[in-house]
Amino acid sequence: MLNVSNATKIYGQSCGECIDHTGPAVGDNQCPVCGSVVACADVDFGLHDGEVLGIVGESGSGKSSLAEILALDSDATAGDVRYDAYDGNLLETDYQARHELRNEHVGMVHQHVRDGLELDFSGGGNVAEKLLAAGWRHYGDVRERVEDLFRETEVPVSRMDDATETYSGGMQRRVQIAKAIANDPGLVVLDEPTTGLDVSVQARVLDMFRRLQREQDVATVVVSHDLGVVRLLADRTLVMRHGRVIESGLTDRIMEDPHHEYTQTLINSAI
Amino acid sequence: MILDIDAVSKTFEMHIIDGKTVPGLADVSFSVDGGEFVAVVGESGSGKSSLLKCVYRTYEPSTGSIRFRTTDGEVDLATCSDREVLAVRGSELGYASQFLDEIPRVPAVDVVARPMWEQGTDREAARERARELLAALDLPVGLFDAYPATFSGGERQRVNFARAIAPRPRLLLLDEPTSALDPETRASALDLLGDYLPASTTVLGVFHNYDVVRQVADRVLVLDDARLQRVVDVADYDPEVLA
Repeated sequence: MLNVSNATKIYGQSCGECIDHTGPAVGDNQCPVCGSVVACADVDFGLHDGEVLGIVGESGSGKSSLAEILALDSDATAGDVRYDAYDGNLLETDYQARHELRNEHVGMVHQHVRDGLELDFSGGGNVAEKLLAAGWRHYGDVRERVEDLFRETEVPVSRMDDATETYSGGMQRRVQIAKAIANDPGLVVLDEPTTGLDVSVQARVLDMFRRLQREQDVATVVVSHDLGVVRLLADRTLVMRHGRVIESGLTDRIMEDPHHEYTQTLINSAI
Repeated sequence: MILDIDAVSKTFEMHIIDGKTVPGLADVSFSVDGGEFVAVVGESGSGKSSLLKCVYRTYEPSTGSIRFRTTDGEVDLATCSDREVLAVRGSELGYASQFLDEIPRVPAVDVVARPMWEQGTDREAARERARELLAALDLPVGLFDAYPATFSGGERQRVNFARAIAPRPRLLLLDEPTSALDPETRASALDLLGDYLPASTTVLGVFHNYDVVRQVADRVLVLDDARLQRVVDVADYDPEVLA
């Protein structure tokens, strides 16, 4: 349902040879010729309905850049992304198509709550906004749907009219998830879904998301520096470093039989 | 024949110690008939867990083939795509590791029920079956809705065991499933294998206890230093020869 080939994102005026001058072989993601930063390059993968793909790597490995490209939050420099809900290359959409895709077909849960929610709006309002953007009009229907979503994501319905900034961190994350799945998208991108949450809340958010993901058969990309999160959620995993995918495979295989030198170091460094 | 393992080797290349290679399995070949119970025995480090992990593809075999006859045809678990492995795991291939690995703060009943509902069983029906299995394993009822993280080793092992057998896989891999259980509970667990699983279930299980092997196995596969030493009928198995 999703097919990504050669996804590339370069920050700066590329000299055209940046990709050859960067990557794991060179040990850097900044081009020595022109100074551009190759956030990610040559990323290929496919995703079926209901599959969960993990992307792991250290800070600066390019995993969030890739997530933003997939969620249509940022433009790619090159590449070809095919998605069931769109006829053509997802990276070459016009404004209108992109708007529609983001509202109805791709859900994103941001690492930073501020990027995903208006904190001075009510929690219910944040989710309703997504429904309105997709064409929902009837007040009663919208309210009913938001209540359902709150129940599904385990946010107290009694709090839906309170300002989002009065919610706990875990509730805010769950409201983001409610918003991301509001229009039954085929694809959800989670960027560091548990970062900044208490350990006790992390577990509940993971369990809740895994249940929803299986029930709704939604394809998911989980980006995390936390191997534990990826281990518990993802069927398959990509390991990124210096903007490139250096290893991919079944998640348990990556964790217990890592082949690449860097993956071995990463696995051995986990606390 | 349901499983045919041919010339499987697994070598680990340890980059962090200068690319040193460590053998996990060397040139192992054997086959298993449908409904057979094969016990895998050998000293620590002889490759017992590595063998199971190669079949489950948690380890990617370096060479050789592992042909599994599924209801939809044959797959080579050593070389097929990751997706094919996931599909087989989701329907016909089960694995109980030595350690329980689950999302924290999930009640024991749901840990056991999850694989069933992810394979399409109704949520409450799956929970009901999970409770029956945990009860049959003598887990105190008071623990059913508690989180396994605080359980004892033996309690956790029972949850893990129940979870692995719950969906009734056609091929079940067991890695020392009863090592932390007292003799009585171990007997309950072994009874459950016979009572709960259909006779057609094929089991490949690592065991340390000779009495257990004699009780459950049809054949015994002896590993020694990553190599297959011999495969014998359980009646001909003499653990003294192991040493």
